[in-house]
Amino acid sequence: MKFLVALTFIFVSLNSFSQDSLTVVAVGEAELEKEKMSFMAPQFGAIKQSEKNKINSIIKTLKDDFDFYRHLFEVNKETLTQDPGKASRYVMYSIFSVVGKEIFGEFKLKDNQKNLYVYTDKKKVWMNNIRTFSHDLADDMYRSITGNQSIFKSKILFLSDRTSPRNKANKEIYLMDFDGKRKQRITYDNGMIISPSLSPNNDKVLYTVVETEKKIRKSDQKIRKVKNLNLYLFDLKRRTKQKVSAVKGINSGAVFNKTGDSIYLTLSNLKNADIYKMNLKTKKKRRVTKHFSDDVDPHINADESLMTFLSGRPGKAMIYTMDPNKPEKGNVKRISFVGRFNAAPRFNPAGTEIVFSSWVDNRFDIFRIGSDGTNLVRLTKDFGSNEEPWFSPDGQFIVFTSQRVISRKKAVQDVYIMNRDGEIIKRITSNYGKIYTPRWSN
Amino acid sequence: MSSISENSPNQNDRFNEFLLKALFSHITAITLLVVVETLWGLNLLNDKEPPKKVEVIQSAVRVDVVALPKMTLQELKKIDMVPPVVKEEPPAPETKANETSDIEFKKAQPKVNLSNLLKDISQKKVKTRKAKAKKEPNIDRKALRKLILDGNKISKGSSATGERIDASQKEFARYIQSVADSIRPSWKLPSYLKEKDLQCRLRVYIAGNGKVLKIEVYESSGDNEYDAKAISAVKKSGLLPKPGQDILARTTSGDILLGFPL
Repeated sequence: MKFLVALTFIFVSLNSFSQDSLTVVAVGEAELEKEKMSFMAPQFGAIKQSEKNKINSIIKTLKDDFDFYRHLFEVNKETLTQDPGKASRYVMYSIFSVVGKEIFGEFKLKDNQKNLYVYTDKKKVWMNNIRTFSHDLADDMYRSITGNQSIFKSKILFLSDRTSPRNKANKEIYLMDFDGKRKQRITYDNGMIISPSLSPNNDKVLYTVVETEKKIRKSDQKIRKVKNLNLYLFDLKRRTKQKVSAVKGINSGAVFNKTGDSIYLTLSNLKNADIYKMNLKTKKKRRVTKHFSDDVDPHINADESLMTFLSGRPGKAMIYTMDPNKPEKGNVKRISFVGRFNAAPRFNPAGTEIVFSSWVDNRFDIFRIGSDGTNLVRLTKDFGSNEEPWFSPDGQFIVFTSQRVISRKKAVQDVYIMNRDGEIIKRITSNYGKIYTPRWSN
Repeated sequence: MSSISENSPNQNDRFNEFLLKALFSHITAITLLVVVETLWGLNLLNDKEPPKKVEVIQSAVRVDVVALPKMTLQELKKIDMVPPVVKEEPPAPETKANETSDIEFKKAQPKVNLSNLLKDISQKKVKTRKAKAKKEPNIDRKALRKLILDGNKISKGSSATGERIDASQKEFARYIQSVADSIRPSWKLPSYLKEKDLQCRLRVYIAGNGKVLKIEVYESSGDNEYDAKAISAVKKSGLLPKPGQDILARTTSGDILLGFPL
């Protein structure tokens, strides 16, 4: 019996294990690792020298394009004749040959770490539109590596006063490639254009023109000139424009909704400025903000669940967000609490961040904040006066204008691109007049 | 007396019977649990992975934003977060006194006793302080205004757990934080892995000289490449900070889990 009792106690005690104590320490988020990318010199079949020069420009464009993503890739600036092998993560090979009267290119992108070709294609080279062909090819290669669309096929809309007479402040709308090439004029209004905006499928442009109208004053029947800010819609394919809104006062700061059938704009016909939503077909309006202070400059996130705007309700221009589909009461959230004057709040494509400019140290600088008001960071400093930021369609870059004072009478204002962490990539306009309000395509 | 002697064998038999039944039912229950565990892959007996008490340490930093940031994100990134390695200077060589020439003359120290102390105190003159005119506090108003306007003053937070932490636990917590700080600069991921939002934990065994003795994948992310990058980050860091004697036993027995990222 004693033996049985002892056996029982031993059996029970086997199940009690000593517990170890481990301590977890967070190493934190990883830094982004750059991958080396190299381009081999193209191989040619029986191709004329003039055409070889054009083809070589494809390789140059590919390098320049990938160089924008310098936070992801370390692009070898030299075109290589010897295969770098594993010294470069990605290597691009190309062979060009003549088939009939056309030139065909065979392209391969090898991942040396996985030892496989991530991209292969054989296609006709658009010799008459080699830049578009190059950007398309770069986008295909980028997608094969990351699975995401790049900025290589995107455009930037902007305003310039290059054709304005000296005594006036006229501005026209222009469109250019994301890298500043192939600028083309869109409008010939000969007026003061402000706040342009592209539609979701990039085929229409909203913009406001400061127009002077002659009106007869009722009291003395005299003709007086009255300025009004009228909203227009320009069709980029048909090259036609139509007046969308011309109520008394401001019809400005208009942006499209996610489907492009409605717009959000600022109207001031009811004493102070407020934000409205308007159906483009029916012209029916719905008031979104209702406050005695001015509410201006709306921007909508991708799924139209959140709107950011500027409001003077706390006494100075601060950034707010709200759901534009719900009544204002209890729905408005203040995002910015610092800065003397904040302007131009813009969502990133995911709607998780807002980039804006703020007046600090006698100039404007660009800041980024979470849509919930957290993680305020400064992106520019000691770089002129920086305004009008706008995210790229992939959310990795910000286009903005930067003004540098040359003399008492002269200041230069150009378009720059930086990545979302504030690393300046390059200036993309030069000697093209004073540039305003750059808008990245969708 | 006779009734007791007659009953005890019966009582013994009943006790033995009871004990046998109890033992049999215990064995049956445990056998059933083992069978269920084997068939359904459950861990009912806790014999496969002994439960471990896991404590998470993460330093907290409180940032008071009272104005727009002065430094840009690029400037902040360039600040070296890893404290510089302070080279220990070798101890100065001891100089032996020359016995023949250097003769130290020591001052005769008076003996200290209570009566001498009391004598000294009684002989001391009491100084009377003159009433000083109240001065206005010497505040540099410009500096104070600048301090108030300057935002982004980072104050060290506290990883408060609500429990009393003893000295060795504090030292251990400080040490493992320094290990994480040493590894962080080497912790890099390509974009396609960063986007996946994965997490893994490595168990590290660290020797007294800071050398990493062993690395184990304690909790895999599910992606071999991600785990490999985390292991590579630890290896690339080289020699880690040296643990103190008090915590050496813990570092060599693998009490440290590194979370990538948490």
